[in-house]
Amino acid sequence: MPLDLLLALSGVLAGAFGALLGLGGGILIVPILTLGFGLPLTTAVGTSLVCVIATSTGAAAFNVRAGRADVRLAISLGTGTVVGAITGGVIAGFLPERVLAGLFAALLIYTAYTMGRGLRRSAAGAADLEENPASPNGPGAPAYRRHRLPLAITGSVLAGNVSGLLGVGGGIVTVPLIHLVMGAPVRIAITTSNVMIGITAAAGAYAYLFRGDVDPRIAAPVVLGVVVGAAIGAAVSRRLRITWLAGLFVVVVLYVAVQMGLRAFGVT
Amino acid sequence: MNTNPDRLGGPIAHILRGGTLIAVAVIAVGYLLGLIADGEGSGATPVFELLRDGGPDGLIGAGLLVLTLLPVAVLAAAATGFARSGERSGVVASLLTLALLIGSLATALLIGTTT
Repeated sequence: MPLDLLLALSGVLAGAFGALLGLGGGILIVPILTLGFGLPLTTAVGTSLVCVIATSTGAAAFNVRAGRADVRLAISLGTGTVVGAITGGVIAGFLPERVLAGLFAALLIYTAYTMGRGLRRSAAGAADLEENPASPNGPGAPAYRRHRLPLAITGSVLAGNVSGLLGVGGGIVTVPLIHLVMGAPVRIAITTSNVMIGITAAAGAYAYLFRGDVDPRIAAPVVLGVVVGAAIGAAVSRRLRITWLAGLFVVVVLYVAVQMGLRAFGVT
Repeated sequence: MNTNPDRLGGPIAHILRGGTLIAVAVIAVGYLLGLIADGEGSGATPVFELLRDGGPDGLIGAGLLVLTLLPVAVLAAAATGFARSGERSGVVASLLTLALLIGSLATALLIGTTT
């Protein structure tokens, strides 16, 4: 029972974290299950993918109902991430992982720098991270103007590719993509990413589920915890200052960049 | 092109909420039955074997399957919503993604049942 409780608490933490920042929580779940509970990597990744779907559905159920996520954008970019995730699996057999990890680390550092600069401008009052009232999407839809959709779709293929190649959550790329490339407010980037990550993760999850890489007695408490955590995260995120959310996201991006950098240099 | 977002978001929100609740309820019941039975559990096992063998792990497997199929249901609902709104690009995007997910599911099914 204490083990089950720890698994459920890990799920709550990952679900809340994922829902707050538009991530699947995989960057927490995989290390917790492998390093903390000694599970094989394939079982940890399979369980993590199911949990990413749980985070996505748990948080998106709140956000879509409240009209806080851009469903149209999620579907459009979701096509790109799914294509990227599938091709990523194929490309993985041909490209050295360390090179990819290095490129990804560089991309993340650039993302953190750009988002950090936006935060400083916002704090100085030069730019606003909150919603622009002009909406192209009809009444009740998220209020902002979309920019550079074709470029964002191309970027989403890259996001899916990186996700499929390196086993990281697509949200770490899609949130900055929606915010920085498309000009969407951070909060909409997070809620829209929450819808997308479930679709992207499903493409990979089936293989693990049907191959027998998911332990039901391990997955059950984690998934139950994730759903509770995602509901808490989705409810709490509305009350948090957007600069705080964006700042926390920059910290997480830098953390993943360091992890990827270490992998590139063969340290991990 | 501007359409009422409730036509699209409403059904998707219902699917996400209802589907998550059903999946979580089934997983929770299986998990609690497993705790009461205090058995070892089947370990990492293909989901079809879990369903075939039944018991607490079979229920958990069924819940996990429902959960992972929710994105498929969401895309089907999105395609229907886009079609009703006359948004061709939305229909194409959702059907393309749906086809990719079904392809991924079929491949996993094929590999899972032949190995």
